[in-house]
Amino acid sequence: MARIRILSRETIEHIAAGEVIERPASVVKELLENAIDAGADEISVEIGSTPEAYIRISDNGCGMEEDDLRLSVLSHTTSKIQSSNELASISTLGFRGEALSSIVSVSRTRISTRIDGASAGCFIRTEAGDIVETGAAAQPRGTIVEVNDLFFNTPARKKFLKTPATEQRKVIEVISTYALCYPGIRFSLKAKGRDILKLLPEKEHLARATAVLGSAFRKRLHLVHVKRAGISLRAIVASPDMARATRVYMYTFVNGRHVKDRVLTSAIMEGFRGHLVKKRYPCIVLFVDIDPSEVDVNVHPTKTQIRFRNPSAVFGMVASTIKKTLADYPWDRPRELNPQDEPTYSATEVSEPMVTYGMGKLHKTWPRQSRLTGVAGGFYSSKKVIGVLHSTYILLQDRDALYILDQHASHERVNYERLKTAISSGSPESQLLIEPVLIELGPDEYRVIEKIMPLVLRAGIELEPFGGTTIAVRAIPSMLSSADVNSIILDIINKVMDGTHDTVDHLDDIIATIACHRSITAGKKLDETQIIALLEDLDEVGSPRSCPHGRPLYKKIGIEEIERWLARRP
Amino acid sequence: MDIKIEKFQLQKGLQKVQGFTEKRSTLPILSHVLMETNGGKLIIKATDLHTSVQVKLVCEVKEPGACTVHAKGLLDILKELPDGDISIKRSDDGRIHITLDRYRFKLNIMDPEEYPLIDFSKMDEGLIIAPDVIKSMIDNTFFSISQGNGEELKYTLEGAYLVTGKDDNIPYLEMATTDAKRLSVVRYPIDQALDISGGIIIPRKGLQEIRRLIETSDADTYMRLSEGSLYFVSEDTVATIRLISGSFPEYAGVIKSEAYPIKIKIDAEELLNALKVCSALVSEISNSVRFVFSDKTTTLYAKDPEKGDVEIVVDSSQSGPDVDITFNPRYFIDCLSMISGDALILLKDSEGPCLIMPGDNSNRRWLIMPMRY
Repeated sequence: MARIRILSRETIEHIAAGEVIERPASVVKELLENAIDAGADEISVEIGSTPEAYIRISDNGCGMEEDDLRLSVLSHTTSKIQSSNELASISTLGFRGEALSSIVSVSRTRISTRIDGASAGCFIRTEAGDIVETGAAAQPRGTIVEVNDLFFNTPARKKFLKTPATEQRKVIEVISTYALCYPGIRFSLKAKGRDILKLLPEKEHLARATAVLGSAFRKRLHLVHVKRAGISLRAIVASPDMARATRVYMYTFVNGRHVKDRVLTSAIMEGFRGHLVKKRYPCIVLFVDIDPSEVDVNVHPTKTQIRFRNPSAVFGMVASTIKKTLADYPWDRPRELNPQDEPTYSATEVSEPMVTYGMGKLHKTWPRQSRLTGVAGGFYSSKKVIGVLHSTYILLQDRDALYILDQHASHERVNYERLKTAISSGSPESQLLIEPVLIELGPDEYRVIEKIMPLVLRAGIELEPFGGTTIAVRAIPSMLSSADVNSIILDIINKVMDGTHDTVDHLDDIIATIACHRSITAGKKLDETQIIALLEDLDEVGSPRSCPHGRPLYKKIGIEEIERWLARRP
Repeated sequence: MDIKIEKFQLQKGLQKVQGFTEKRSTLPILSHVLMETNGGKLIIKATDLHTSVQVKLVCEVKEPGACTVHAKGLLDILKELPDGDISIKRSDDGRIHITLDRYRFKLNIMDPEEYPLIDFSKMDEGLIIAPDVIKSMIDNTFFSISQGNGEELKYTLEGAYLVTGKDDNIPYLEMATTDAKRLSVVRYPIDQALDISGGIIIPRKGLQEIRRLIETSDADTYMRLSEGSLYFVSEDTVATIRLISGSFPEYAGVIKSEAYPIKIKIDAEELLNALKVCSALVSEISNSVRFVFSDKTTTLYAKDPEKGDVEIVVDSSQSGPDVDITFNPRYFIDCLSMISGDALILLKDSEGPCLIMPGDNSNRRWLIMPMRY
């Protein structure tokens, strides 16, 4: 008997459907895309107590004619492209002609639709892909898709679903994602008859992002817009202190399509490097608009993967834009309290401060006064030193706040930046030692150091095996003292061993470790000239706001806040 | 205790000893000085347990006794007071009353019984050395003492190594310091034998304080070196440093001039000035200057990625092949400042160490390790 058989149409469809429709959230995703492609400006989603049992999506888009409706449930039918030539320049979200047919083949579905101008709508009812009923329907312009009993005919898939709460969260995630991208569309979600999400149409992305991400992000978001060489980049960057433990708040869109792309994620991480504590991920909404022919979206049926024709250009642009934004640190500038005055992205350029310093309404009643310190310019050096707390925290003031600055972290950042510059300019000469410093290591430690020896060398520390598990340090960066070497090497090894060091970022982490060892410690008394020198050094290296490990350098306490504590203000 | 003393004398005495107190110690009494009367004198003692000092001051003793007082606190007050006779009286309320004209202070004191005992009993033993010799030794080596973060105290590298030996049957005393990147060695012949051939370490702070005392003292002073201590003795002042036994890297081999085939003779001052120009340009981190030694000239190249670059040619004469080698200019500047006239620069090759000595005196030698990319 022949062992190889041709699969039945039904089986093929189930397999194909499995690639596109994994869970209720995938249904929502596909149907949202259809609604958006249909030009809807109002989309409401409703789910049952278990999302797989009932999903209903209604939109006010263009709708379908009766004949189209019948065709739409068949596989590889689409209104979005006509021939493979158009694959190279797709401008709609959908194009594969698989989504609807996949949903239909694994559920009981009812679709009703009416186009503009038609006297009545029509509906179609299907079960496991077969049309069971069609007819006329009374309904408003647009399309309503009701998906019942998802995966009823594929019990294996159904088993893999998570708890209803998790599935519901995934649905919320999908809707949030599209909502971020389409601020002009009104989105709503109801679950078990209760309103879960209600997003009013907004004129611009920043307002929508605040609505989606939550009020905690108010005033912690900044929108930048840059356009260069055929790539337009809009990024809503959240202050690094809003970082999360997972990547959920890293939203990336390419040509209006939500994607999960390694190039973009690593560019974002690169941009945020030095601003985040380990294992924290930034919050960012990134829109890349690029000539459709420069990007391939037809990589995977779910269309969340893409390929850039020129990934390094995109990488560089994203990373440098974020870096610049973070260096600019727009969050700390006082802003107008009135949300209407929030700038729209057409008016914002990355290099321009959003609101000029001190022009906010807040300060209108505050008497203008001359600078408190003679030093002009930088963020840090323009503030007045008013004291040192516990020989560890430098206290600074300016017109509207008190700043508590960590002296160790600050010095560490300065050293880190300088060492990094030295290394990137290719000149971290190592100073040879008269006698190598010998460090005895455990076998595990030895293996680690052996592996990262070339990287350690790039940071200026020259190591050599010395027999057994002993390592000889032959040369060190000239800024280091030979007394520090032992502890630095052990520190580096330990960090690699506990996995605190990211594999990609070893060199950076090594530099950070060296910088840390070279820095003044907390508790060391600094005199005023040393403090001022430190502030000037900070400004010289670009006024960073965090230490190389991502901890903040200072805490700002607004004068209003102090006034509230002391009951001078309601 | 009740005494009367010229304010200026007391201030001078306190200034001398204040450096020996320990401000950061967990023992608060170490930030105090001990003041006690002895005959017609006031003796002020200070110690951090490693280095100790006492000065004798002329005063009028009305009632003998002792007290301790915060050194810096009292000194800060004295600095602001007008000249005149000051009276210091210990009262029953556990304080001292200080009076000068219409100024009256009451300062808190600590129990003098608790002040650590300072032992100057061995100041008459050991080898007598001229203070100038010790001062010159310190000046020639101090800069290459390791500057650790202070967290990991390594006495070996955070002090000077002192050792005796014999060269052609002439006994000598040698001081060496190193921070692992460079080494300084100074040797002085001595008249009589003293055996510390095992070597001892003088901690950095002790060196600093002794040097300060030597510099501010009058002619009639001497130093005594014994196995356990180094004494500084003058008419009114005695100071002692407790010496620590410790091992020091073996260095005799690397400072032998025979091991260096390439010899360059160069005017120390000219090279020093050229290096100062270079180091004004290079940054703290990429702190390096390239030396190209050739037949008749030495050319220095320095560059900073942000500022620019510099090239300076200095006349020199050389035996041996051309060498292209990079050094930290700071290290050269430190030892060239100690040389007048010609300097002798000895090299092995473009990767090995460099030995520097004055053209006319091989008793002072500096070893500097090169840098590499």
